[in-house]
Amino acid sequence: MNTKNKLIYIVLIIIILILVALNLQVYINNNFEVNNMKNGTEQNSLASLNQEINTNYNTSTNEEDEQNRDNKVATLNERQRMQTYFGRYLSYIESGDYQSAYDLLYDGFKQNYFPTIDKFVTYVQSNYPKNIVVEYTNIEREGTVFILTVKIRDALNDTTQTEVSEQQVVITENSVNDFKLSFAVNE
Amino acid sequence: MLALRNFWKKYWKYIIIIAIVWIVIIIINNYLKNIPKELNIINTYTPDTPVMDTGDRVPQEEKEEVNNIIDTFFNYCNNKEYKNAYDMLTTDCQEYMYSNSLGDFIEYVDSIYTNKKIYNIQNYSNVNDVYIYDINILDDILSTGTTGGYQTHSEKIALIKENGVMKISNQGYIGKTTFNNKYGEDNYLKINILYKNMSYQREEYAVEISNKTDGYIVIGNGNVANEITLNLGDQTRPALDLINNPIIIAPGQKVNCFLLFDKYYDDGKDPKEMNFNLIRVFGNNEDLAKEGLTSNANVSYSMNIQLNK
Repeated sequence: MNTKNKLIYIVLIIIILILVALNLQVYINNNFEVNNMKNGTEQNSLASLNQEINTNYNTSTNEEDEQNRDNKVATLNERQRMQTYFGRYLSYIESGDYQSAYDLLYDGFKQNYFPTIDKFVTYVQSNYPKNIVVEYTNIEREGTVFILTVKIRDALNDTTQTEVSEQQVVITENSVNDFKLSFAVNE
Repeated sequence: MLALRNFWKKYWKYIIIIAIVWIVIIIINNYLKNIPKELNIINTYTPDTPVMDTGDRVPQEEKEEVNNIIDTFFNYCNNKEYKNAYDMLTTDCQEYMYSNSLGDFIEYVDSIYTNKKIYNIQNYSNVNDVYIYDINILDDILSTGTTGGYQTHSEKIALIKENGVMKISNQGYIGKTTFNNKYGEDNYLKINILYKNMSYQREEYAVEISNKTDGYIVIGNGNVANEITLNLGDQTRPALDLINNPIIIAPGQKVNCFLLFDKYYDDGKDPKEMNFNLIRVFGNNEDLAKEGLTSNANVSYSMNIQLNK
């Protein structure tokens, strides 16, 4: 075999290897790679993000979903993150998952006002509507602690009579999706 | 086909090696891509970035020490470990703010730390190796959820090295500077500037004045603007509240008085001199002296005392 033919064969082999590698790459991407989020489109969709997080949080169990959710929340600004966290808390209450909601409360707050989950459930059932609409009216920060001012209404009976008076919610965030909260208790 | 087989026989080792290397590179690449990335969240809280001049920061190697000291001091106060907290104060602060009395400090702590508190800090400015922070002390709103409202207290604290040890000066007080040979003297009186105490917003000068005459001398009584001023070079600041604290020296007497001037510690200005712009020498009629009218004085003149030479 002359040198020219050898060169052609080597080139052909390399082309075949490239094609194999590209196919392998596509396969791996489709099956294993975590979907990366693009900031431009996600930051505009807080409502859908909230909805997605709230509706999927209980059911999404695999690691990829968690990573995906963390990635999404990490791109939000502070106000949006705090609203997302409180939204998650409310979604637990709305769906009757009181234990998960209770677990999000700050320990000192639990000791002060709700030492048992039963007390918390009783409070929630008498102070929150079944279908919750929340309006965020203000946010302040005290160092690493955020104070949200919110109005909570009944989604199915949205009149002034059903409006819960403005309430303050305190949230502290350790890292993405790792937070604790407390709120002004109606005594 | 035969040629291809021959080629394979001859070069299969190289081809296999290239293929293996290729696959290894792809595997490593995918592995690295799938390693969970550390998520950096958007955080606008930058407690160690000074508000006044973001370029003049606390040195990186001292940042942790500064934060630890503030945290320790706060926790001592919050847990009512008075003595431990008091010992963290500079000697100047203990003397000026609390008259070297632990009891006075306890009063301060009890007035602020009425229940369990939390705090946050913000570096304000850093001047002459003095690190000034705003500290905001508030009720533990995480534990209360703001139920029943909450109270906050803000003050400036300064972190200062004293004999190589980082200490705290609180309630806006910074420190003391003692003067040597800063005096003015003539036939009528001698004015000796002894020391000054600096807070973030003000400087208070301790001044000793000796009346060498057998008549009364009025240094300042608020009758006229700018009787005593502090010269900062490009501007002057009048002594505050002379109308309520007139300086009238009886014949032959020596008095110590305090002169207060507005001056921010981090304004970059260095006091040049103190100007006594209207010294009035009277006879021994006390009433005339208290009236302080320049027209009734036997002599009126000014005296300037250099502060920075």
